[in-house]
Amino acid sequence: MSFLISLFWIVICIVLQILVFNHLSLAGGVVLLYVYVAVKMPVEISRQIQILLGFLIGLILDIFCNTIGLHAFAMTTTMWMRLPLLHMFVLAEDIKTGAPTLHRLGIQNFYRFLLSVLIVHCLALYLLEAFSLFSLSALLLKIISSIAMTFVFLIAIEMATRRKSV
Amino acid sequence: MQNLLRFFTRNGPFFTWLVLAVLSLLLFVQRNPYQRSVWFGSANRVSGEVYAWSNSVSGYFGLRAINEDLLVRLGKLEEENLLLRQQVRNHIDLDSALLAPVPYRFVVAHVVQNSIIQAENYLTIDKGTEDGIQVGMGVADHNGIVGQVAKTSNHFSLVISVLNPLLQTSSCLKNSESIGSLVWDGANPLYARLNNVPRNVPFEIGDTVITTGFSNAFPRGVPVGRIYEEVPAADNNFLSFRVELFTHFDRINNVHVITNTNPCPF
Repeated sequence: MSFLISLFWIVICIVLQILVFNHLSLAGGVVLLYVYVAVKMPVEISRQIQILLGFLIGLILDIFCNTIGLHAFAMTTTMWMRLPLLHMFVLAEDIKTGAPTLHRLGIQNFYRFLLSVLIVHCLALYLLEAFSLFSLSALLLKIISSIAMTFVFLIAIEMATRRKSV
Repeated sequence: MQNLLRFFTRNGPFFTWLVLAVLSLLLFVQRNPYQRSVWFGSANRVSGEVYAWSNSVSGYFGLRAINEDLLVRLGKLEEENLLLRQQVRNHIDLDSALLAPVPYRFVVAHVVQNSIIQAENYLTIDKGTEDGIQVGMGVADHNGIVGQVAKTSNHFSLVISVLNPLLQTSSCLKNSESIGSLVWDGANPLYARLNNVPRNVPFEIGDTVITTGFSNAFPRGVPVGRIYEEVPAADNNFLSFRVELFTHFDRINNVHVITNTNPCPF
């Protein structure tokens, strides 16, 4: 049952990304809502499954955005890196099951973890995209804008849903 | 053998990542829409329907601005029509001139998906092969050119936007026969570059750029934009311009697909 609920939220994230957030851009960057999946996935799920799920989410986004392979690569890489990144800030023994939340990690560690996931994701996404067109200033602006907007937005979601996930 | 197995299980996540990342990269380098299946893009039935449903709501946004555009365009066409009728009347019999066949037909379509911020932009329109749309047809709206059909399914088509460096459109200055090629440089959705214009072509800032009609996609004279400034060209024998596009890509709503009923064989 909880699996179905998670699936439901993942689909909601993807649909909102495609229909809403992809159209709200500032300095070329957008809110990357679907990265929330990479932040919140329970840590006990097998890493291979996590990476595969990242690939599938990326592929669906790619089909809708006509960027085949781009989001798939970025999400696969993010999913692969998320646990090593998490364990940079939190001991593996301290978080053996469940999802990383603001409450469990503490504000500072959660901010660090979220920011590092976003940096990995945006670098993978926009550096690969830049292969077809290269303009350094536009690229940097896009990366910074996306990271900043997504960071603020995901923190807001995390704060708003804090009580539920405790 | 056992060591090899242990190596793989210990590095399982890495190898999963490696395989999927290589697969993604292979898909990415072959992303040219002309070569891949329509299922790998937004014009397939599922994503087409999702976008069409979303557009049935969001399609009402910005209608006031589009309405203004249309009225301005209507006025211009009305003026042009009067002028042409007057000129034609002086030369030949008007009725027989109007009956002469024109090889172009316009199919009106709604844009259900559009992007302007990616490095390669595409649009999805709600007309497909069953409406007579074919790959390679030109797409324009009331302001100017929009792109070219790259992939079709039964009810949807993927249009490669002018804001996509993969598309080059043969264009020229309105008062000259010398052709250049229009291509987007990726920096700003308001501007594109017109390259390879011969150096001897007289020009002024603000000159209108139109399509040449040398391809089957567009007839001659579809508006493209106006010259904004001259920019350094890669080759000294040619001129390059930054062209301010007439089409407002941020609020494209309805377009017409130009079907050529009498394409010239190559």
